[in-house]
Amino acid sequence: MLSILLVEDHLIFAGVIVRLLNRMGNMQVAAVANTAEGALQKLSDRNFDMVLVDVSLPNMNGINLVSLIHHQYPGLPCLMLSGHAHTHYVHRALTAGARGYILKDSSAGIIDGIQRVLKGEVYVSPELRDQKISG
Amino acid sequence: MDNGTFLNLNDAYLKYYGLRAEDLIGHTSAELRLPLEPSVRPSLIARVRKEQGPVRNLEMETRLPSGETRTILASLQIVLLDDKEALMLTFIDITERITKEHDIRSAATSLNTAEQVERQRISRILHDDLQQNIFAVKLQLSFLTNMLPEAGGEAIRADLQQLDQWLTEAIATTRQLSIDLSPPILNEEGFMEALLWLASQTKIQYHLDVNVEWREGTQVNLDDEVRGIVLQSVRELLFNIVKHAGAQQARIKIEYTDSDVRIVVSDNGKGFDPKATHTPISHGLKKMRDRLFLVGCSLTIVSEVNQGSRITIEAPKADMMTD
Repeated sequence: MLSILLVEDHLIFAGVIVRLLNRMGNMQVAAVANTAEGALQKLSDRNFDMVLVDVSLPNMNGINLVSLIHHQYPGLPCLMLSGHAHTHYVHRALTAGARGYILKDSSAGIIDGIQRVLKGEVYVSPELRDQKISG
Repeated sequence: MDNGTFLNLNDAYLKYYGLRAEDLIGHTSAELRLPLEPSVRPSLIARVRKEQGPVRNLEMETRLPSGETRTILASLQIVLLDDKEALMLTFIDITERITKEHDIRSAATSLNTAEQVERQRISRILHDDLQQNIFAVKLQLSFLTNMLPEAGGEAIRADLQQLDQWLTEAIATTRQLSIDLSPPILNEEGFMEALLWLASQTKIQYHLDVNVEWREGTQVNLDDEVRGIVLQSVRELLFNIVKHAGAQQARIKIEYTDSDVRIVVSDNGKGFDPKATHTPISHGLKKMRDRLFLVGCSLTIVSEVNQGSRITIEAPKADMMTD
């Protein structure tokens, strides 16, 4: 059973994500942290197979958290969840060490992203893949 | 003229400095440190000689005998008195005007800042609260859809798909509104990253190619207030290009001097007459110029009909800002 740490400060959305993933059968949200600091605490308490991280968090943001996790737990894949549909954030997240960037709009996209990252792929929501930064 | 000896003064001058004629006449400007600091005098005389005529509207500081510093607007010219060259100085005190201008500028800047803060607040509510709720509803809807039996649930499935579509549109609307009010990137990221984002957004939203040019490795250091208004202005200029210029390409170029940062926004569109008044472009640019002026920036417009446009914003670097 895949063990996931969810880092999300919006309680309603966090609750729905927990329901979504726990229903898959082969994965479970083992813990939820509402802040980056809380997530680091939970990571020091137990092992997880994957971390889902919201970009917008109070205090330390999700991208900085991913960077810290990437350094402290190099083998632990982090997947960013976000409402921000900007390639700028995608670029920053992947540079920080995230294995993927998923928009929160689509349940199928979230499941697909988790499964692909577990296979070793880097996953970005299809809506963001075609956008390029010019200049 | 050469040694700065006071030859003559009017009553207004004596009253202004609270002195008597005998306190001044026959004494030198350097000795009394009036009306200006001695170090300033040689360059002023050189300038008057070079102009070969009156030099007007010089804003300078003078110190009263009490020690108080005042700001004056002065005119200088060389005159002949008894066949000898003398330097005639006339001035008005503009200290109150300068103070009031400063107060107006501060008030306008505060209003601008308050508006930006309020926009950021509403943008955050849209993103952090409303949008997250809509995401949750959308995901919850997907549960219900998946719970429907394969057969017999077609009508309900169709309704749920319609709901999903409406929610998708609602998300797109809140996203765009959040960006229009206060794009997070403009507040959270570096100046260059913010410009690159503006270029990217213009391309995505309006299909206008925008190239951003700057010297690699350079950090643009602007005060927060200046930065906010400059980025807002660049955004508006790009929107103007989309709306009015009919251009295929635009360019943002960053240039530097010792004291200023120069942001040049140009396009290859149909141009306009900068002297024309009462047009939407002229009104918008005038307001932009006023907002920039309030934070110590300037706006220069170069454009001709059918020749494209080149608009330059000059902003003082952060450590160059003075009150």
